[in-house]
Amino acid sequence: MNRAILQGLCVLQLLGSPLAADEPIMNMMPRWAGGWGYQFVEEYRRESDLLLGDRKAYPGFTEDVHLMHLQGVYTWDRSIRLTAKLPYVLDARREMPDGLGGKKTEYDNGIGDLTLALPLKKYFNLDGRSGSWTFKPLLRVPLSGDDEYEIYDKEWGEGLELGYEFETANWAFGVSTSGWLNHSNKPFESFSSLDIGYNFQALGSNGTIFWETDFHYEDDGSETLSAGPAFYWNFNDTTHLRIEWKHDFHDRQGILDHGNGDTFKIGIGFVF
Amino acid sequence: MKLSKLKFVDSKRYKRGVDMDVKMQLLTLALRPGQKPDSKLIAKAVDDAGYVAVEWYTMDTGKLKTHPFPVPKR
Repeated sequence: MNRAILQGLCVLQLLGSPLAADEPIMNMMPRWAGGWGYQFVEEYRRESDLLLGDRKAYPGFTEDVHLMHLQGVYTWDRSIRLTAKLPYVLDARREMPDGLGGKKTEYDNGIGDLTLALPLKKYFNLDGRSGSWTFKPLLRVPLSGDDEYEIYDKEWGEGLELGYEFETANWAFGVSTSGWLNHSNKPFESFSSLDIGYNFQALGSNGTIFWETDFHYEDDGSETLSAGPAFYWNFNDTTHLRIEWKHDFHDRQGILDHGNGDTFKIGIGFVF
Repeated sequence: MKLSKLKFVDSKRYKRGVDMDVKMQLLTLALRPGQKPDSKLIAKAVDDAGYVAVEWYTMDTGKLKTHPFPVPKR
């Protein structure tokens, strides 16, 4: 008889390791069929100046935004998921010229626009490296209200994102680009990202440290290049943490708008 | 992946019954006493998660034996 199992252990070798994309949960999971999860991400953003083109049209006119994002995912099969991302503006204020040489403050508060996505993934597993190609249709649903000003556009929008990512035991790499068509007279806009991460194990669990670079472009001449570190920690199979900070290293606004900012996010997610 | 939910896996050991050596791409499953692993179910759980199960190992009269996993049907 096969004295098969090593005293109650079954050891097997497999190819592949988990990987990342810009969707819940934590850009990483659930990868398995029937998996689902949700996460809360709190975001603080401060922009220091009111820009027009490359110049500070009104230096020191700031915008401060405090958001809470509720995001969820369901995985039917490893190749198809549905994600939903709903932002809520806890508090937003911006300083604008009052036309008399001074400044006035405008406020926004309330629900933002819902973003639905259908990430379609083709996974590959090589010796020591695992990854995926992503084709992701996007839909923006207008839900935001009407305040003195709006963070979100309250407009329907359709988009498409393409992505490629892979991971080894120690490193993670991801690149993606998306384009959005907005209705009415809103400009076309594009988001691109390049992420590099280092995986580590500590305290009986594991995490990843990333350097992430984002480029946002609108065809009214606006472009923003931001970058910064991100930290992911796996508390256990269910609970996950992510912290990130990004700084605007290059900011150009095609219309009068705030820029030269910093963004800080902290999120906690749960996967089942 | 949902290996910990397989009935022959002892989820009270390791991390929900699974110990992962990422560098060696080696997974160790803790088995319930008296239980044998089902390679087809393991291969399906691994495949459903988007990975590839290559082979599994047993000890037979002091020698390590390798067994290829069946390729799951999709």
